Amino acid sequence: MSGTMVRKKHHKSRNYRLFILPALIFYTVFIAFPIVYGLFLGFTDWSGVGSFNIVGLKNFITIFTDERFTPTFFNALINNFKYLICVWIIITPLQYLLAYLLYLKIPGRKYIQFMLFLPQVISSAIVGFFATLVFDPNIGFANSLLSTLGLEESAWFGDPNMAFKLLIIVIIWQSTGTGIMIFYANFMDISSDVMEASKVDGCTEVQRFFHIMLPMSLPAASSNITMSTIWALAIFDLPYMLGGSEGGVSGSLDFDNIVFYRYTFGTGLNGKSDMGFGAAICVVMFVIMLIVTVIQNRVLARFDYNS
Amino acid sequence: MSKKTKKARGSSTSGTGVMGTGQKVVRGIISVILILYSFITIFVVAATIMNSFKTQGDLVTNFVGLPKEFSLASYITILTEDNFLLYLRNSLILTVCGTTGCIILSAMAAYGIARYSFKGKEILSNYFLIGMMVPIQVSILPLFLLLRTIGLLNNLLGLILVYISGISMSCLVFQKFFRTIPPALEEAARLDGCHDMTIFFKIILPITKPTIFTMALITAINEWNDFYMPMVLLGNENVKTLTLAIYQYVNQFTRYMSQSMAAVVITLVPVIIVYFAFSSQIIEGMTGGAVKG
Amino acid sequence: MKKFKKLLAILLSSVMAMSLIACGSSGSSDAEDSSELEGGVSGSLLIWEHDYSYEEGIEALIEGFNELYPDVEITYLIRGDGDYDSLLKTALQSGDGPDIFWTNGTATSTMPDLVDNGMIVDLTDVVDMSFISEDALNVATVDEGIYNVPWMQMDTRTCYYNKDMFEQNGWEIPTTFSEFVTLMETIYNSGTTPVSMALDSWCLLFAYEPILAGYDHEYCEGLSDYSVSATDTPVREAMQLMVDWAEAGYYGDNWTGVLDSSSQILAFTTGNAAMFIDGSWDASNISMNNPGLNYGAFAIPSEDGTTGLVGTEAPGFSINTESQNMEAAELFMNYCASKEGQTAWIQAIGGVPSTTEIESSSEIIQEISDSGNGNTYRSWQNVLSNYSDESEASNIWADDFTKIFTGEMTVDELCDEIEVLMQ
Repeated sequence: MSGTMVRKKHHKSRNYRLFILPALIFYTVFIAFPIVYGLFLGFTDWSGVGSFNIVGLKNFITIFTDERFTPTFFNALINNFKYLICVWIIITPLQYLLAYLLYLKIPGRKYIQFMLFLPQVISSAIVGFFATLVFDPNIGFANSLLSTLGLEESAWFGDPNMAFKLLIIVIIWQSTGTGIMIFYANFMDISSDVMEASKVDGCTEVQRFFHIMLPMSLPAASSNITMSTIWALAIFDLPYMLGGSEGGVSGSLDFDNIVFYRYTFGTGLNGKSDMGFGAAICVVMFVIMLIVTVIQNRVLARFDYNS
Repeated sequence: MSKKTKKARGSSTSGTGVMGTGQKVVRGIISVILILYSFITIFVVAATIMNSFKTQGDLVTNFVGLPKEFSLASYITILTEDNFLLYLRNSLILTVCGTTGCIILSAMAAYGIARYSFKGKEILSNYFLIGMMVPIQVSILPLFLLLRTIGLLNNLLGLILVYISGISMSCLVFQKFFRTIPPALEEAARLDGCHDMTIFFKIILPITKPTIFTMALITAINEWNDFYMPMVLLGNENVKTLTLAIYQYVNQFTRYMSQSMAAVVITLVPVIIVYFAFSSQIIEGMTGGAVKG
Repeated sequence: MKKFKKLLAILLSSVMAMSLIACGSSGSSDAEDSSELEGGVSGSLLIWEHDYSYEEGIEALIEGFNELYPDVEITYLIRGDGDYDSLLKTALQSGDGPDIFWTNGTATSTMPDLVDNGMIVDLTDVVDMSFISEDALNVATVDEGIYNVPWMQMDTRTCYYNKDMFEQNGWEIPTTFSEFVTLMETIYNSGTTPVSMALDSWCLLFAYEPILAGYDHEYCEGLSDYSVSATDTPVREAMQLMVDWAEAGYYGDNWTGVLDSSSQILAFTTGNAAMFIDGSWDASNISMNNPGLNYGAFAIPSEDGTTGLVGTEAPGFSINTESQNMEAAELFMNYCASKEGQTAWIQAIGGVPSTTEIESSSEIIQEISDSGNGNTYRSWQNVLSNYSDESEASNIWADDFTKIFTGEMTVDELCDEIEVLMQ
């Protein structure tokens, strides 16, 4: 095992350009340039049409000092971080565990694997639709079930104390598939020699898990965590589908991307739009994500093979 | 090690000989829990299928119960009034081209970053992450202008180019994976005089098949499910995608309740078929791949 | 390094090739678009609408227009889903906008914004507006110029009720406000939800305004010329009533879980709720959702029995200044402003006509129309929007209206907040 872990020096050659250049060109033109331009608008007063003036930091001052906006922004930011903590302590470990169980070839593995991944292939537009079927207080299945059982019906997403927890459950149901797949593929990549040898040596499953699987799958874990962190801070689709653009009851499903959306495009009939201010919100979020990602990468790098 | 010996060894060790009865019971219990959990998904999908066979009037008054009469009306409406085959074709073209291009580009870039040392490597690696950090709504207007300038607005090719460029996630995952591959294989090939590109396509890609397939599947799912970019960048009926069509149905849920149900069922079917096709590929890739180290 | 350059060259040339192919294809479609004038007007027009429930209206308009000008090829796109304004602005900004598009008139800041940027054609001397009333033209006018052809139709609010349920239980349509309150209590005591409601500012507004009209119709008459304060005592008391009803359970025990108008409609069409206070435009949605539902509509009466309709005139289409086919676009707008066009649209979408020259298209619309006894009141929210700087009062209201129902704010706190912003 240690033999495979020793890394030779990185190959020095200019050939890396051949590998990187195509992606770099495409990515710069179609992804990075539009983003940079979009973020630049955060320093302007652009309403969405016509010309604009550069207003410097005015939008940012509003974000942090406006008596109406600032509490909304921070309420949403706190929700983002609450969700991030759920990602770290619940969702990622759960994904890891499920992937490991699949790897262990538990009975009915193929079926379970399919059923765990199936919700992932359902577009979030459809998940919102399913949520209506299940959680609508008047026609939903959940309340029909409760009343059949003689229990008290619930407002589900209309209950600010329950909405966030319910959201986490829906997220676990719908979007853990990606992480499970990445972990699972990584387990499959771990040389089976190592695993077989350990079985012959009489390791218990628990020992094998902690001494072999865990250290060997850390690279996958770090890429998974990096992604999940970014997604946690950029979450939009599901809470938008479940709680609407107002961020649910009493802001319980409000996240910063929804705040951005609401203030950029105006809500529904209101139609007031402010691209400059919206872009400024994104700049702030972008900086927060960058800081979190960089710190996280430093921490995760200790577990990488390279170090 | 050859495939044969691996199989032989596997069968000799993974039987009941090593695994205790206690472990078997634990595994069984876990299976049962997960199978019970999967009933949620089955229930939701089954309820949608069941409701798609109700007539609109029946559906509203009898939402939870079984259909009073079996009706195919909503399917017929959807398949005849809407151009579903065209939407399906558009979605397939977008997803297949976008995924293939994106996976190739990101695998190459990730290999370049993981295997070579050069100045600005870490910056480049972080630069590729930016694509995931900013909501698409921020960059949609510049993107719109860009595609319009090069004449690719309302054109499948335009969105394919954007999808191909969305390498952030797969590039990150590939980087970490390529680092776990021992360099001995490449060194040997390099001594034989192989070019770096040859090594990448002939040696590295085959042995990372499971990861490649997994990321291709994930990318394909994301592109298939995307409705925002098609909504903004593909504003014509002849380039409409299936997911966008469904999204619009679901948005008019109150008006077309039974058709919404049928539309959801119709989108799920190709996805499930593709999943099965892909999942056997993955398993093949896993068991048939070369062994490293 | 040589190889690197070669690769770059290949890449660049392939990108160029791709864009050339694309340009070629889009170029050819442009050629198709360009009109060949043979006698009458021809060419093509693209129309954008914001809501699927108006699809029948556009189809009826196109059909009627094509009878007069068969050579004009009109296509339309419904770009709904809550993103209409941003899609429209994006398209107009990049010069790729539709020839004709819906705007919400002066009700929101979008149309005035587009006018400021010279993106909408001034129709004052272009379209014959003789059929359109002064009131309706108000929603289309920015700085003396007319930028929109409004519909002679009221976007009004009404109280729908389930006729079968009312008959079976012997409930009567109320003739005074206190009868209305007693009716809700009776229905509630019988174990049925009296009113279907959603926790959304706009859904609540469409119920609040007719309730306010029933609570104090004299106050509502004063709103038309803004001779009363927008946060006067009746406003506060009517709001408090709605909050009290919510607490009494008149909207159902778990109504806070109903977050949008579609779930709100479902509670009514499925027979969960006996009444549903909402816009006249949702009549077609109710009928489509449950074709078998036997329902009617009444206006919430005030204590002396006076009834009236709260509503705003409905804005319609505008022309893009960059339209490539201005002649056809102007003809189309003239058709929209004509009696034939107005009738085609209003009857197709089931609107409540604000002129006697157009007949209602269905019984329920007739019923809504009759229930007002010819009285109309100005929308309270419209006052907020028009008499505050940049509609700020309306924005604040939209942000905070739900908070008085979740207990985050009191009615007085909300009204004080609005009061400061009013002119």
